[in-house]
Amino acid sequence: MIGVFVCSCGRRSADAWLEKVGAAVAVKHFFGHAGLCGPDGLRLIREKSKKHKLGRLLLAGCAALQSEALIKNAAKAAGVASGAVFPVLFPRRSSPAVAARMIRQATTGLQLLPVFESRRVALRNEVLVLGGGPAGTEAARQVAAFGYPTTITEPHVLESLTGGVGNFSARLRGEGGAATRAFGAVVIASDGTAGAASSAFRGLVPLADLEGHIEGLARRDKPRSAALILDLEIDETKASTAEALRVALALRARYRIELTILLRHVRVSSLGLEKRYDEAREAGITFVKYDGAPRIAASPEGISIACTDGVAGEDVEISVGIAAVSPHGLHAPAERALGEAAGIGLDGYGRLQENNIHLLPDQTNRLGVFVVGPCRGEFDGETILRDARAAALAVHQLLSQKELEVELSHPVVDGDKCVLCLTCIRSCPFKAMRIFAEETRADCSPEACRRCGICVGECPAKAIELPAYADRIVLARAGE
Amino acid sequence: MKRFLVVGAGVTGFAAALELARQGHGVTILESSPAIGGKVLSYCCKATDSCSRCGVCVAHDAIAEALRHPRISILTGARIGAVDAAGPAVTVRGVAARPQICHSLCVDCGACASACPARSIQRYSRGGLTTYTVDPSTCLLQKGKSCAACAEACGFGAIEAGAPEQPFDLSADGVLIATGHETFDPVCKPRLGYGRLLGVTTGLEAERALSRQAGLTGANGEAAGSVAFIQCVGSRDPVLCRNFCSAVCCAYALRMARLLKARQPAAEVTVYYIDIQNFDKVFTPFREGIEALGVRFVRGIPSSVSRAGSGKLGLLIEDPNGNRTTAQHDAVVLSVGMSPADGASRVAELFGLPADEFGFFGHCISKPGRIVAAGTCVEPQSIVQSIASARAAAQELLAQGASA
Repeated sequence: MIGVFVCSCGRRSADAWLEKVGAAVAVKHFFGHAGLCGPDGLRLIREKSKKHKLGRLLLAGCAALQSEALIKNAAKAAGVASGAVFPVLFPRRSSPAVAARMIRQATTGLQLLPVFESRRVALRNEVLVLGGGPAGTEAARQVAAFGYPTTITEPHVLESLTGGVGNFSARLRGEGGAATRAFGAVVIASDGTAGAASSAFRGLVPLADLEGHIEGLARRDKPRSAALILDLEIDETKASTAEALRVALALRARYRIELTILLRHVRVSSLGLEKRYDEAREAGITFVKYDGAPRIAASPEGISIACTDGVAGEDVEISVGIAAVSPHGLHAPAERALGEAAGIGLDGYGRLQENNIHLLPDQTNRLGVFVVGPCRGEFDGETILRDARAAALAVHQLLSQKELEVELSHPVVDGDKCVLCLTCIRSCPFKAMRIFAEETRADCSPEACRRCGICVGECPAKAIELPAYADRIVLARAGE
Repeated sequence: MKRFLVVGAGVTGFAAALELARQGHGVTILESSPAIGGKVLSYCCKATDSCSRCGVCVAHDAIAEALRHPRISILTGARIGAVDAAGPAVTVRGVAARPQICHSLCVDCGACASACPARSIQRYSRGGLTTYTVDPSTCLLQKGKSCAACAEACGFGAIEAGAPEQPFDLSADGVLIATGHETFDPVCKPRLGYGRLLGVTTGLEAERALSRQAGLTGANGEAAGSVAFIQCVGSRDPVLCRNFCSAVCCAYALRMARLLKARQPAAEVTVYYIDIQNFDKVFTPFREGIEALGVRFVRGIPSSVSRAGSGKLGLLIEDPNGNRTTAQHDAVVLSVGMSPADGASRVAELFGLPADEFGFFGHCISKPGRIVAAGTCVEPQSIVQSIASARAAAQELLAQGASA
């Protein structure tokens, strides 16, 4: 039995409008209410569902009804599965005729829609943290503070991460061979691989080693001048500017070395950094903001750097005793191995996690797996700690639920049509597809799947169907 | 269940409140202004055919969800009188303005707005987020007259009127300070012509214009075919004692430049800058994409903007060698920076937070970890960074409770 609940909030003559919609829709169980998303709305849904034994609900109104939490609450109030609650969103100021047409279309689809069962997935409370640097240590410390048994290990020991949220199987390399352990959630906090100074930049010292290198030289061998080069291949962040300023100021104060910092842009978007930049200029450190690619070559004095000064618009050539390059400005070897082992996508720099605004600085394409720190591309100390704490909270938000209710509306694979071509496994952004245990067909994990339908579209054998969007339902709705 | 207090109903405050409420705790948000949502509600989506990851939609979603959350309550027009953090709980006393609109009960019927004799109730709506705001400058109750028209008209008990002020006395296990920021007022830089010349707008005004229309309006009142963005207005400026970077202006200017170019490929867009701050996760391809669209980048900040002939604006640019050049544009957008909010220093004093010379709180946490700050009151930062900092702060408040 379908119940149609229509929200009339935001309308002047709500009752008259509802009456017109009701007359045009002409279904048996039609209820109007102003503010379905409020507590009174839920009460109405509970009462009417019980009284009329409603099995499916259609909630029609503004975009507020789309909220996942609201749909869950409505389903709970009506005593049905979340999949049996269907939102219909009216455009603002829609006429009764438009509203009625939308409701009729939706009810046609809803009549055909199977009611999905739900499954409860228990969430294990063990947490795996991959990476023992600042990000990993902070994340592990904070997760452990919430009382979760936490394992911290080096990222490269991860061979594979299968399973889904609440019950991941991590295959970890150890001294006595690999072992598989189960975890509820995983935080990846590898220190990442900054770009290694490639052969094109031979003779350059990594920025982090410059101080130690100069310190190790005998007094008479100490260079009189040094250059620090940033942004060589990719734009660097404020973290690199901060590090370059720190190193330059220290060397200037200790050895009176002439220092030149070459960069494309001075990145000072952090409190206090602009003042440290002023300080560096006052201390006599030269800044060259270059355009294009600098040409670096060996010279009798050490190293010569030729580039175009972007401010003056002139070509300049600098000879220095020693030059350092910031590895964060070089293309880094991709985190492909870690990404593949953990099932996490890579961004345009080859770092973990695609660039998507809805994946805030810790979330990933896999529910229950979080990425923080340099492997995600964040090198600023303060930000790394902040993200690690946010990830710890996200782990707690997830695991403190103890169990997850998962609606079984995930794609179904037709075993007769599936030819095991693995297209769905490659194209699923959420690593939800896998090969069925008996290796006769592909299969989808309802916990990891987000019902995007990509596998349905990509399957060359047309073997996959998303039950809520089965052909007959779509055709029936379109035919209205 | 614990009780937490959030000072500031912007995106940071709401994001933190949501995290705390999801953990089963009660949260009260105090907001000094009559409106909720903060600055983020006036920003536009800057997507072209693809998302530019500005985060405005993410902020709207967070605020909309928090508004409907039964464990989050909000007091607008609130003034904090006294704070006592010495005891086991932090107690905060003050007064909140009336009428007070409860958004979790509001059904968006608009009855209050129609009933208000002074027409002082405004509605804001975008996506799943709808808010109502009482303008205290016109509200009869706020002006000392007896009026309860809105509360009587509301059929859902969502509005409280009565006395113009209602005292509150709250006790909290932890406090999150998220007072946010003000934008720099470019009138302080008179040579840039803001407020004097038609066609000179702030970045914020340009966002509002772009959310309503395709392009910007030029000095001659017609659609601007040539737009200049001037960066670092009120940022990195030692003369104004503002030698800090506001962190977000490059991001919004470049995204707006991208949006303008995508909508009007024939328009000329120029960005005058000192240094472009890196903001996107994968920034270099993003910047190169903007350059490929034809946005021109010019190093150097124009020193003045004046009316030029033919209804254009003339920009005077001095290079480091002292050479002067001029450029003409139809419209000029000033990328204004951030300052701490007006009331931030008072909040800092009340809660005992240290502030730096510019008034930002920095990454400070008061001793017992019961009072933490997040968002743009800490340092200038983007929407996404503010949400992340709100979540980190919420974690800190919860961890404090867990170990206590």
